[in-house]
Amino acid sequence: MFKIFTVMIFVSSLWAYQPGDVVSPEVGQKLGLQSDKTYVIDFFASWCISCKHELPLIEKLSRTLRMKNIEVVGVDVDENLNQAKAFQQELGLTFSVVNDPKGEVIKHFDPVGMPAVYIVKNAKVTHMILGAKDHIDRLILAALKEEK
Amino acid sequence: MHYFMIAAILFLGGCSHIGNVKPWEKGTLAKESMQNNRGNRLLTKFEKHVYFSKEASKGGGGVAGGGCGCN
Amino acid sequence: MQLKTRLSYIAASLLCVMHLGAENYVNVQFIGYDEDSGRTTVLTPQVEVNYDYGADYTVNMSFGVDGISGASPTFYDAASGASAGSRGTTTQQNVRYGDVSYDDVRKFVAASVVKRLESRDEVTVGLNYSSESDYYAGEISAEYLHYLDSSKNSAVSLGAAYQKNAVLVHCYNGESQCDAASGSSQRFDIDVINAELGFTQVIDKNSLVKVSLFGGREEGFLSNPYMNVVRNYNTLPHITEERKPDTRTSYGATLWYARSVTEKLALIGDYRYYHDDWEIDSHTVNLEANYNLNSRWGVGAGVRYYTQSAAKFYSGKKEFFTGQKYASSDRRMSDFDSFTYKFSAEYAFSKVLQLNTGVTYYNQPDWFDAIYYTIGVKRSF
Repeated sequence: MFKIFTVMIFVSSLWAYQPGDVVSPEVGQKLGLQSDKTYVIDFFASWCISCKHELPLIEKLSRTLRMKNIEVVGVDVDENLNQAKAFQQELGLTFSVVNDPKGEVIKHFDPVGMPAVYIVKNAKVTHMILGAKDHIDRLILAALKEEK
Repeated sequence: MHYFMIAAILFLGGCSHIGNVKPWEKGTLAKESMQNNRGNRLLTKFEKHVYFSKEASKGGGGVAGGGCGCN
Repeated sequence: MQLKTRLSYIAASLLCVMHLGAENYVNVQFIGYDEDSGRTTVLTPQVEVNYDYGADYTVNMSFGVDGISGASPTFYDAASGASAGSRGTTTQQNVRYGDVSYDDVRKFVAASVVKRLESRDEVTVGLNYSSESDYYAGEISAEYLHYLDSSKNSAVSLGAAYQKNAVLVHCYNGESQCDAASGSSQRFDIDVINAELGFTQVIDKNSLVKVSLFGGREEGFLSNPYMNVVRNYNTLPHITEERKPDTRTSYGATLWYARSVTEKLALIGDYRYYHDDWEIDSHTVNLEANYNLNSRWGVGAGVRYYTQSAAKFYSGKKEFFTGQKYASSDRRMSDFDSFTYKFSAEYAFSKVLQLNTGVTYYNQPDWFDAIYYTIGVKRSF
């Protein structure tokens, strides 16, 4: 029993979503996901400089993807809601954004860095793009292409 | 032996709080107010220059900084 | 949910917050420094540009000009006037200690490039150059930052810098280091090496700590060519240039801690210990508080205490030196305390435009005090 307890403490971080994992209905509901659709989920924050660089590209990409019935869902993890809303307004984001000030959604994904992009198709995680990347829009498109 | 394991797990569990900060929890640490001179490098550089030219000690704030005719 | 190892994803991870300060901006500062109510004044405009080139590179450049006008105290021969060059054999009545004036312009430029590796470890390379009429300083530095864990809560850094400096020693009276035939200024080199090893640890989401060990070695002409000492005051007073050792080895340690006490208030504290083979020991304690009044206004305050012991070859007394090889009456080599008090305010006109202003009061109770004012603008883009 003690061995199980010890193992649980030290491996809890390994229960984060990985490609191939199914997003739980509870998390799917918080994100507004439909089970038969493809989504690009982007975790960001106003204090994250790389997120600030990437978001204009993702905003532009979201308009293109919408025409292909692929939705971008942003998750803003700022603890201060006013700050979060001001940041989203400043960037003129038109895609759906979920505010996650207490980290209740992101803790299930548990990315090792920010920004973090996950592609979810039919409620299953298919790709992860973690960290600051050049040309994030091209990387997302390449990942989506692999899904076809 | 079992008591030792309980103590070790509890102790290590306590230690695991130090530095166990998730990436999305670092917004506070990213604030400018958490840096000397609110992160204004020019002011920090000038400050170091004043201390370097008026006092006999140097070092401890990073290696880069340049020299001056302050000897 | 599948239970899988995450090790394969660690190499691709990035802690966004370590991109801190790496945003695109131009920062312009004006600083006015006034010592002892006008004895020495410095006016310095400075500009800094910071630019992110993609996700992997950050370039930072800064440059500025110091216009220095003032006076520095030393011994001189009153018969020849208040000048650093007023040297030679004289009478006891003519031995004076007081300000000798100088004017100079110092220009400086610095540049650094940060490269982030696949692992998001960072390599920083820097160059610094400054020039005055009688001093040139060139430096190259490099630093490597390595993250010890996947969440970037611990990091070690190792940095080193090499300076090649040159001082022009003006010859007033055929000093030993000058060319006796031409009497012209002589150039002497100074080589400096510094290194620092640091460890940073995030403690919790509101605080972090950094400890570091540092050391340095200087070789070359380390004396101040404008500083004099009196030798043989009691027999045949002779005012001559000071002489400090040609080498200096130093080391020390620092401890730095920052904590966000409330959502609006952050406290920063640091301590430094320093020691060198000139037998100078010093302790520095620095405390700073930054308070965000609202989304536009921020204020800050700081206090610093510094204390040092005297160099083994220092004496401020005109009667002290006779035939000692090393001799200095440079008050920077004496034992003294200093206190610094500073206040600052920052106003954000918008998300991309900030104004900052501040005042700092620096006091060495035994010697002098100084005030400097700063005003600056930062434009992000």
